[in-house]
Amino acid sequence: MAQVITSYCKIKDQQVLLNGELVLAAPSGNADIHHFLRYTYEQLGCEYPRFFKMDALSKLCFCAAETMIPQSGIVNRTDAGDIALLFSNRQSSILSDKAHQETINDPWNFFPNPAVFVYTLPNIMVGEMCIRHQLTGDTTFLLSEGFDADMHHRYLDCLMQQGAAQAVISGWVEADENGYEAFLYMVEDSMVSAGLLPHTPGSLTALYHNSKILTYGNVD
Amino acid sequence: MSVCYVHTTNIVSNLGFTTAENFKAVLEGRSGLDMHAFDFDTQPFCTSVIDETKLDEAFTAVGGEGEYTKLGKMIFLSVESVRHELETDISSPDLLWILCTTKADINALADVDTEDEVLYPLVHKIEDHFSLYHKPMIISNACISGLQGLIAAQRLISEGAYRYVIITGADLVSTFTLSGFNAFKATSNDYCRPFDQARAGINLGEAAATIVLGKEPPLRKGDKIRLTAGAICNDATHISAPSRTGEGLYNAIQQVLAATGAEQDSIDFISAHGTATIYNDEMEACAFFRAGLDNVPMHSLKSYFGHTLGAAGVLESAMAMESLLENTFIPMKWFENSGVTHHISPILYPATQQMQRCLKTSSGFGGNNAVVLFEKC
Repeated sequence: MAQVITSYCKIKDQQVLLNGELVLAAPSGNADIHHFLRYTYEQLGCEYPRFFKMDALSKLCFCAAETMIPQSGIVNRTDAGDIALLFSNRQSSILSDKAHQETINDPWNFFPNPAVFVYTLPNIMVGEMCIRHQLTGDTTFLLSEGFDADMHHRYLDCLMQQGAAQAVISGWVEADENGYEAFLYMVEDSMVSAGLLPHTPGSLTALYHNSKILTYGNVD
Repeated sequence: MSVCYVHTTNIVSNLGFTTAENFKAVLEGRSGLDMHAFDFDTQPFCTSVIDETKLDEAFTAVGGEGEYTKLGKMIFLSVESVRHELETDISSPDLLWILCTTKADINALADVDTEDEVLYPLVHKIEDHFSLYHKPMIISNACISGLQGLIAAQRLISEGAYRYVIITGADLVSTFTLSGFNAFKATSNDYCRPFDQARAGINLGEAAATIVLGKEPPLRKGDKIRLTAGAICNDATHISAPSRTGEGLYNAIQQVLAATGAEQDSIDFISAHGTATIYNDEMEACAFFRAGLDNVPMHSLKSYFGHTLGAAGVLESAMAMESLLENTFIPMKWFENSGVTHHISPILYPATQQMQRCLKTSSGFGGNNAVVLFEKC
């Protein structure tokens, strides 16, 4: 058995790519993250009113997960409790943190909102993914100054080798006032590795930095 | 999954700057919680806050210098305290440092515009001062962060990635978190009372706590503790409320029991999360009952330290280990009458008896639940 990357999704610069193929591009002009996420949600065609309660980070992750997870068929071949989630980013929940901070800057005009505060934890976006896809396995959220392919690879390998997971959905999801990017990928054990991308730090670095590496089918 | 061994622990809280000091204070029935004023409210908040003058003295006494934030000093002091007990140099390639924190120096966000200032300068200072070989792993997974740090360390050690892992959990009482939990109506105006009928919510606390895990048992003589198994499961039901049936916690407990073959009645006590909110404590009691653990003596330490967020799992594990080594139960302060639907066995007195193993649990926002089994060897 070899660990292979069975699917990956990238969202950046108003585009959504699945396994290197462009699946959605928002009309150019408005680069605002909220507009883009709203547009993407509508294009995805899913009915999930919870989406509108989420902060931008959770919405961004939702859009990438919605593009990748159902299409991959992972939940049909792996028990929901055996799928782990391993995510990271640089600036934690910065957008929600700042939104909450604005409500508490002035002791004389103090109006913290629980619906904002709950998103001031970066792992809430992972919790949202668990609810949406009914995933009940191990979840991890890490912070690092840049996408750390070595750390992701090492810990994901640990999760699978130690029997904590049969498959892992992993990624880097970052959103701040200057921009946004999501890179999600899925690692599974496969009997055949020919034509599939091996799970190595090198593969992760290549996928993260390049919008298109190669195209390949799913593992059955 | 292979076991790993506890080499040493440290706790920096307002009850003391070593694990022994904290353990002694707790057995004397002292709580670090007290009423503190915050500028955004006319009412004081019951919180556990570290005295900055005492912290500065301790920080300077261990050779700390330069510009550190309060959290930075707490972390420095905690890591410096375990450094002397290490069997290797702290800058060895065999060693990884894991930092577990939910909000780090979030107070800085009032003055700066980027989260970069909240976390990384502090991490770099610690990294540079101790000349750490590897880039630290930083876990921010809400209230299970600390316990998850121990589980991650065990997995990395088992896979042979490192021989030693230092796990530090640290968080502050900040206007940021206090105002948020208060807006949630999750804070109690009085001392928090986990699992009690009169419980009315959490008290926040601040602490830094550190545990060193190693591949082999420590060389020192006497009883030792090993981390036998750990598991993490998600409820997948709600982002801020626990599952009513305690599903994720129950599953994590089942996985740990199955992995170790430990019988329910062989567990001497449970160190629960016990935040003293209505829903958390009810959920935990339900999960313990379903797992056949309702007759196992249990406590929550939140009535001594408050909820120390990312530090809680490390701090409470260090206390649980001390309890095992000293063969002495830590009673659950301010507990009078059970306020949960299912039967529980709260620890009421600091009784002594030979002890072998304990279960530590944490649950948090995002639906997370973590469970670890510690055994004396």
